Amino acid sequence: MSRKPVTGGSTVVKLPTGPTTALPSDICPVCKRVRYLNTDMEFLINPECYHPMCSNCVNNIFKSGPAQCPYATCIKTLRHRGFRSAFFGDLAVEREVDIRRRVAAAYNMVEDDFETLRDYNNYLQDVEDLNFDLISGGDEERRAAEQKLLHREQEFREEIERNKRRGREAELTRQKRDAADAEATRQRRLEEQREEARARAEEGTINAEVMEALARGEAGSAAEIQTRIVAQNRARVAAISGAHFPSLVDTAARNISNTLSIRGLKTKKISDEEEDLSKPYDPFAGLGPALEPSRYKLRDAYPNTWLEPAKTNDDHRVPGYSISEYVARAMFDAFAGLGVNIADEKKDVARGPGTAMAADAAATNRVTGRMDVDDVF
Amino acid sequence: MAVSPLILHPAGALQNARSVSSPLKNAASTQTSSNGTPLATQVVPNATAAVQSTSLDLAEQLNEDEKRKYVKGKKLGEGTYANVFLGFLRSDPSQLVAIKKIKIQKEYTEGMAPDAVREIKHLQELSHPNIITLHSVFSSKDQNLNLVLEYLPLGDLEMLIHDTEHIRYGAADIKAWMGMLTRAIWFCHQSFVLHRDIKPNNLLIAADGEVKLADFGLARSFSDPYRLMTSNVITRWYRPPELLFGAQHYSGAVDVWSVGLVLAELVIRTPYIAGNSEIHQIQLICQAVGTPTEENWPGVTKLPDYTVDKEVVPLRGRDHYMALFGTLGAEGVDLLMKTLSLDPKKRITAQDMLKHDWWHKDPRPTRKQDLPKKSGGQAKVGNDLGRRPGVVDEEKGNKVARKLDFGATK
Repeated sequence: MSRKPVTGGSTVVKLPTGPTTALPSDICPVCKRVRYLNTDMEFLINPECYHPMCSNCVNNIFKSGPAQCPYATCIKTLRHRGFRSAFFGDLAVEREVDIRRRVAAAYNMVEDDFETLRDYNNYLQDVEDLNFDLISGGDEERRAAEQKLLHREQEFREEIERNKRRGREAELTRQKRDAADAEATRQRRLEEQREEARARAEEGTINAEVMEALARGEAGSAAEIQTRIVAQNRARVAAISGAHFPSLVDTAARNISNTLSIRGLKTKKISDEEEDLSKPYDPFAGLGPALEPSRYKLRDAYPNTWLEPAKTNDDHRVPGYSISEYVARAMFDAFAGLGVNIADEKKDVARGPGTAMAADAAATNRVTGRMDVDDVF
Repeated sequence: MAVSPLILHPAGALQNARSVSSPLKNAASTQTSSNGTPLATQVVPNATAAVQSTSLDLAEQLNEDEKRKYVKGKKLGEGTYANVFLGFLRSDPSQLVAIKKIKIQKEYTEGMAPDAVREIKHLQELSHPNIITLHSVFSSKDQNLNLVLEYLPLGDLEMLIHDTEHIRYGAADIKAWMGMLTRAIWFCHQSFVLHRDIKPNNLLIAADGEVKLADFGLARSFSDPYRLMTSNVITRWYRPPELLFGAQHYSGAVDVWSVGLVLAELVIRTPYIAGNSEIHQIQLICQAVGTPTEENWPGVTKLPDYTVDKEVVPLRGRDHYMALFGTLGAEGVDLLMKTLSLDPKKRITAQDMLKHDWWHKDPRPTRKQDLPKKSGGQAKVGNDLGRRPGVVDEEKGNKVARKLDFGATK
């Protein structure tokens, strides 16, 4: 708004409440005391009308209770408690910030709350219109806007509270992530520095080696010897950085792919969390039906004379030896291997070395192909 | 058995290798004959292998190939029976693994230690999110056996339970951990494997918070009827009464008892029944759960090593458990009581545990990524591993005009 120096007396925008927008620096507009005589003079404002006056005046007038603003045209009743020192030199800005702060507290939705980006932008536009009405609208507009804001503050108190809490949490996680990022960057820089120092030391030896080779009187001209040794060492430097700091090799290409993949992960994680909590907890973690025998039905009892003593003998019965466990295993063994197509498995093996596949599967926490076959293991 | 993508070779022959004098070399070379399948058709040795050395026979070459896939790094820890090293894939150094190098044991110079055999035999068959993954097996130069396992950087459950100073956790976290443990055991039993050494020590925590059952050194498959099993398994504090009484025919119920004690330990944060000796352990079980008698466990007096105090403690009621484990809620206590049933026939099975109501009651189990972790360095390392270098992930709000935040200064 005002780009004028703070000491300037005139206002650029005529505010509805009509204070001079600049905070006075030397003379109190109320009691006309001057700073020259009162070096510790401080000017206070009240957000009711933003009329500045010195702390002396505030004490004198409002100490004993609420009173009318001492400005000639102002009819606001002010209280001692409401006075504070202004943060901005320009009081119009001070007022605008106060209003915006209040509006932002009431309209605190975030992009995630909206279906589309367009909806969100429309919402932002509406809020900004409201701000404008409150800050520089006419009396009528201001009153209407005030109504809207009050309505919002009262009707949607719970929602506002909820959004606020969420905002705080988001802020916390953001701070944490920022700190982690900064740390990672620092580590990376250190690593780069170390690597650079190493490479430089290696380079430093090149000259010495060239001189040595020349002194030994190796075959070839001096220039040839030099190029040969330099090339050798360069390769060595490259090998060092390649082997020990793979992150330094081809950094640009890596960065691109990394950024992309991290983004993907991030969004996936969020949806995972929501998904996790929306579904009921499955104690079997999805494996329940997969382990049920599908090619046969396990009966409660199988007539078998060989098994009879195991059912009745005390040495089996008392410590809980389970015939049904034995029967389940026998049945499983009888059907094991059926439905397994070796040709398919050979294809799998051909596709990649078994261990790598297993490691891959373990990394992704996926149960290996065995689960697809109905007779597990 | 149907698909075993984990290990393409030696492991299959390892089981019967104990009788062979020089374990891995011969074991690997006998494979061609014992399997009757020429290896060359199974795995085509790649170009590097062919170049490598012509003096090695095919099995040795395959082993060499497998070994070369991994780079062994610093030592992570040493146990009585193995050293554990950190390692990574040669082709992708960001993929970390733990390499467990089995020590040569004095008692088993003739072959391989039975724990190693058991571990390989069962781990290669079990593939489940809550069971540690065995990536590969190879032998190194002194015919030492090396198991390439999943790298689980965040310690074990015991560390969390006993670090009462720094770690706080609640009923939801306990439920989440128990869910993962019970699923692991259920999967083992469903695959006809008895783990026989369940304790918080053996429950390792992956970088994403997933609990993984490890140490299959005592595991065995379900026994046939009339076939004896040893009763000297399971760490004493977690050993069920039927094993303490010397039973030699038992079922998956032995693991369930251990699971129940892990649950109890998670709540009270100290081992629930910690005896100094087997006799003492039985005494403590009598006090904590009740004395096993003919009434509550028909036939128990006929078990070989049945010895209890003269004083008979009646079975503890629900109130006793509620007082100690009330944080679990009524359903949780009910589940605990069913796992700590003296009579193994009445003890709940792992499958029925998962069908219990407790899982569906409040509080809902914590998501694995939100579970408490060991604070400090290790968690940091885990995070750092999870993140890729050189990335700044941008807020998605870039396409919207930036809005001044007046609320923040308040």
